[in-house]
Amino acid sequence: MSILETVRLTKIYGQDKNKVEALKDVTVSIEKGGFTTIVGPSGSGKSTLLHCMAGLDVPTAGEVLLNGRNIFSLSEEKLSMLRRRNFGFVFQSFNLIPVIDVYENITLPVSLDDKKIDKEYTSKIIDILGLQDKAESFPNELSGGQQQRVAIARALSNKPDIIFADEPTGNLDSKTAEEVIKIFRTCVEELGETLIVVTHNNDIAAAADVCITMRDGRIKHQ
Amino acid sequence: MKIYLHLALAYLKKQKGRTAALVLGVALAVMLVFGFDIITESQSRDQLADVYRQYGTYHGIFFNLNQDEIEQIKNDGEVSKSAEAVDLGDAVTDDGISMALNSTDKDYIEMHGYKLKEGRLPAAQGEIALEAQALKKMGLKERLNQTINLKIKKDYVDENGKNQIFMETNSFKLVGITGKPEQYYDNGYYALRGFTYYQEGEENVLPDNLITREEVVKLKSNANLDGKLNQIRERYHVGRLDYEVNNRLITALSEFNAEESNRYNDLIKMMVVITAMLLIYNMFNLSLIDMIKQIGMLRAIRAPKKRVRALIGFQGLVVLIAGLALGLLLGVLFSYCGRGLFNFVSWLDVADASLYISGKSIGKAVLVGTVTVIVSSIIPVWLAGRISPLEAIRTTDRSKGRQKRRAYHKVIRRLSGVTGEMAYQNVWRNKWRTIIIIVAVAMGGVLFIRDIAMLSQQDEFDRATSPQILTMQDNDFKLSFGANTDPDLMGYTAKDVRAISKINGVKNVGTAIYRDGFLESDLKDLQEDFIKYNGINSNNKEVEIPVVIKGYDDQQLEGFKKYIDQGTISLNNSPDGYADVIVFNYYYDVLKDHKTKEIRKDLKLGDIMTIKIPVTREGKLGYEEHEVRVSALLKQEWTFTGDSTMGRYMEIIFPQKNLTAAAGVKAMSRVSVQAKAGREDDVYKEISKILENKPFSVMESKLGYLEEDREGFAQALKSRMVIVALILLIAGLNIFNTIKTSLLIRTNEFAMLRAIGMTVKQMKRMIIKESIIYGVLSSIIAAIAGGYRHYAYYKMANDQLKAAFNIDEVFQAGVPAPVLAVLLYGAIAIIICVFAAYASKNKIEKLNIVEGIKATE
Amino acid sequence: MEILKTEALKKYYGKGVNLVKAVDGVDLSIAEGEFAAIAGSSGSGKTTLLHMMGGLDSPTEGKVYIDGRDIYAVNDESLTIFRRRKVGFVFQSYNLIPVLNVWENITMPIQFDLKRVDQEFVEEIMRTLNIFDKKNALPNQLSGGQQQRTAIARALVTRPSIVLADEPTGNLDSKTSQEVVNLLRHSVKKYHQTIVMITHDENLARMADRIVRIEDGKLVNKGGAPC
Repeated sequence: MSILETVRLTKIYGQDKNKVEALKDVTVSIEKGGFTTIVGPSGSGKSTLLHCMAGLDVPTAGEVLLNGRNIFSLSEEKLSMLRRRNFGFVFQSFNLIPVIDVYENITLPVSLDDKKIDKEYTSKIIDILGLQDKAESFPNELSGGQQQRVAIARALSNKPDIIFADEPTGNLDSKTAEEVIKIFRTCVEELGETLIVVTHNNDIAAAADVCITMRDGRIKHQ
Repeated sequence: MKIYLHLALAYLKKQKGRTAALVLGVALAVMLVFGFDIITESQSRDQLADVYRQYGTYHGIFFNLNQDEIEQIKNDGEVSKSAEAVDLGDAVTDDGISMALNSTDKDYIEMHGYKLKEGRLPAAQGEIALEAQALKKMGLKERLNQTINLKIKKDYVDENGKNQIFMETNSFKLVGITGKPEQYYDNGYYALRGFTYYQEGEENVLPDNLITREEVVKLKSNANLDGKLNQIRERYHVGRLDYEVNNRLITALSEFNAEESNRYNDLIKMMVVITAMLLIYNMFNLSLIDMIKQIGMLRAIRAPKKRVRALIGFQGLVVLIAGLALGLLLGVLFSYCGRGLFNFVSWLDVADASLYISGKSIGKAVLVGTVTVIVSSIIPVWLAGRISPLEAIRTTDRSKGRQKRRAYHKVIRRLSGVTGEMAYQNVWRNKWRTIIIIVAVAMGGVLFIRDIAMLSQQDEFDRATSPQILTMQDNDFKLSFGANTDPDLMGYTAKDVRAISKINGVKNVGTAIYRDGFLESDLKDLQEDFIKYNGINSNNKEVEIPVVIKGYDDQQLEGFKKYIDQGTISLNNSPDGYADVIVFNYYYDVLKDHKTKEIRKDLKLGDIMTIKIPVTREGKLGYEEHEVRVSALLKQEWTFTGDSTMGRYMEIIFPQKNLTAAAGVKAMSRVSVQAKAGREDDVYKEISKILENKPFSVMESKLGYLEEDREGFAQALKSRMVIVALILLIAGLNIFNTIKTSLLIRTNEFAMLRAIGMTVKQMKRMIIKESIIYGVLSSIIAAIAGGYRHYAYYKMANDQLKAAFNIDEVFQAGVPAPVLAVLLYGAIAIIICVFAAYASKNKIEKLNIVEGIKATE
Repeated sequence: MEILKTEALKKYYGKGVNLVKAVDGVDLSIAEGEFAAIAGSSGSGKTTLLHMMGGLDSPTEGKVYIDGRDIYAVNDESLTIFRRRKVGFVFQSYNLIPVLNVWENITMPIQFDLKRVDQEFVEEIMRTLNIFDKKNALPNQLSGGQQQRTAIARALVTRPSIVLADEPTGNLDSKTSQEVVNLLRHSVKKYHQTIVMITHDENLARMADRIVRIEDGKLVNKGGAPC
């Protein structure tokens, strides 16, 4: 079942001489509960596609349908709330708020929503991600891999429909990257998440269910 | 070199907000220093010119000199000009108007500042020149050649060392009218002076044995006039009381030469300069953070540390030049607008002061500006060179420092949610920057809180600490006489007193007699300090020391019971014929330690003293001996809150009827009036009418004093609030730019927060909370510092007065807490901080999430 | 002739549980005039290795020789000078000074050294890299490729013996990337320089004379499987 669709998504930056067509008429459909990767060389538009799908960037033309509804028909406020409640995010770097501890970072989306934190569920995620003894540490006390795991925990904490990850292993060594990939598979298999990951990393692509290749703003093949 | 200048300028242009803040910070500090200096110089210049016109050009005057001493002083190395005249005592009218009388000496007259308005100076016996003002007060027309009868009066010490009075009536022809500028007479504190003919060998208005000479001198250099004059006095063995300095001139010269720096002014200047320094330091540091990637890159590709430091240094130089230019301009404007508000000199009525800008003040302002920029940029310049090339390529989070979990974080979380906690933690991300901002904002509070608190407490404070007001006691008005009157001849008659008592609204009238007499004493019975202080001739074993003899009505004496240290007030003479008196055996040492000190050693109740009272018998004025018994001794407090002045001599107090009987006195020296509540203004008007016919009568009003002090305070308050506003402006710039820059620095974080679902509203709220925290913290510091200053002020007054007058507690009701002022400043601080944050709201709204995430700066 | 050599080069961060071995004993030798590519996945340590080779980051252990000189054996100032003369860097994020135009950005290293700019030479480089017609533009007016080429020109303009390039095509599309690497090759051959380039793109790596592979801080010899 399709959970997210893009319809003729186009994104153009700049004008005239400096015009960059990052996305050209991209139509793609993401299956619920699957692990999808988007790959392609630098400048292929894969990050741009992810950003538009996640409601982080507004396309020049086209639509993004979440469960059939165009997310860009929402107001900025509602779109923020949508992201808060329905999406989870993992970026390449600068994921965590340095001034609050790991536990608070993880529960941040829920706190922003002013909802009560499901302590049991949060504990479960912390366990899955192996962060039990780091819950009260601060981000600057963690290694890159641990920080990324915290980011993943955060992405899970609000029980989102879709988790978006943009080069999540970009700054990690191969061993840690492997762990992260394992965790991703766990999210998909045990927790039933839908995962969309943009990456350079061939190993992630290999672990995915679906691999979308982009080149110069278009989809090459799926 | 060009590339560095180009880069420095380009970055300044790019960060417009910060550059503006830098330039403004320097400019405002320079403006204040420059403005203050211009005002001070202009006012002191005008004041000096005025004083020369009104008070003459002499620096000091020596009395009781003989010919030799006159010559010696004239030829002294320090003296540039001198003039002498004979002291012919005082010329007194029948009504009691008194003026000093000197022989006619053109130089002497000129050095005193008198100009001849009409006629000529006396050239023969029986001729006199008087001031136009004297004629006016005497009720005479300015008509030359009229005949005026005057008593010539002089105190002297005879061959046996006893004090005597000489008084004889003479007839004079008015041949000349002198005068000084009108302003001189307007302020009410002037001494009239007449000139008549004197020739040695002829029969003059005073017998030869009473002739003394006086000399006015002008010194060569204007530095340390007080000290030099005293040295001259000692050099030629002139008595301690036989010399006077031309006070106003010396003060004006000292203020003109800026001999003593005004400490309060310096404090204000320093506070503004420090606030500016904090601003500049902060701005440069923020710039470094903003440019850190680029500086790192510069270092990576070639730039040596020196050059990178020079980059920041150049920026400092550009800021300095722009700031100085703007600051000097603003300084002139400031002094133009502020010269009526700030009063930096003692005597001048400042509203009309001209503006005078000297090279010296420009130089000083430039120096202050330069030092400000140098001191505040030293550390940032040094830090710039320490930026490692790795900063250019760093892609991971740069967050430094450990955040520790503290107990109150949970409280904050509960109170204001996760945004509140993040806001609080963000504030402490960079400990020193936060402290700098808080201190800058709190500086204003240090001035503000005490002044605003005093606004409502001023009256109470005044009533408790001002001797002027305290010695009024329960009276609303005190009538007495000013200078240019003879206390033996001038007074309020019974008719006057009746008229005053009859005024509608008058509750009570009291009267007092004051006379200057002498006490005969053995030298060894007097305290050392007292002898020195009053320059008493210690060659004789027995001396006559001046005393103030007073006679109060019975009702007033009753009221003085609370000042009695030992003994009782006895209203009748004792059966063994001695007059019972109350004695105040202290003097106020204003030179050494500002304390009341004992005069006679071991004075006890029952001691018999011999005093001399000036008495008129059969038309002749002379001193009569009376023996009195000490029936009561007064506390030191008498000086502060009793009916006294901070005098240098003993007070001998009689019941009025006894003094009248002994001295044959009819007229009162002093009338005190209590008005019924609310009727003070009417009574004041009525009394003024009565006093119109009494030349040189003076009415002191308690409400008048309170009003004067209130006005003085209000004036000072206005000027200080200008300074507070200035400090807050500079501090505000600091906060504004800090918040703006911190938004820039945390772009990644904000983008990430937005990505995971924080709305723009939530983000704005978080920023506002942050700035409120700055505001609250600043208010707390301001409250502590300002409150301390408030209490310290009270404490200082208390300690000083306690030490001086040996009293218990000045402020019976304790020190009122400056609650309102603290809250008010807190509100101001918070508003400024929030406003600074609000001004950045555009940046928050326009944040592009994707760009923010990608940004690695 | 060997121009750059590393000996048992190590870079460790942190300690205990958090110990990260970014570079774990690398022996590498680069010959003069060589165009070498260092390839490896993210986090393999290639960037750290490059920084140490260029004197930007001091090693935990081991040595780096440029032209026979141990660049970490001397004190800071003369190291900086030596590095300045010998090594040119191209960074992944171009790090152009936003307030200077293209020409100024390129000539800045020369001007910082207070030397006179050899206009002809700079122009030549700019033409070779095809950015001469943009010389008055500000960085924010350039495309990613143009910015990158500007950064490369800046590195070349001081005629360093060695050019160290960290993912110089990192943010470019495939076509531009190939063009840039070609231009790089061409210009360094022309000026007799040595170039060491980091890339994770296999196609670009194959354009070099030699591929050095690094994984988890150590040199290896295996390939990866693309999607």
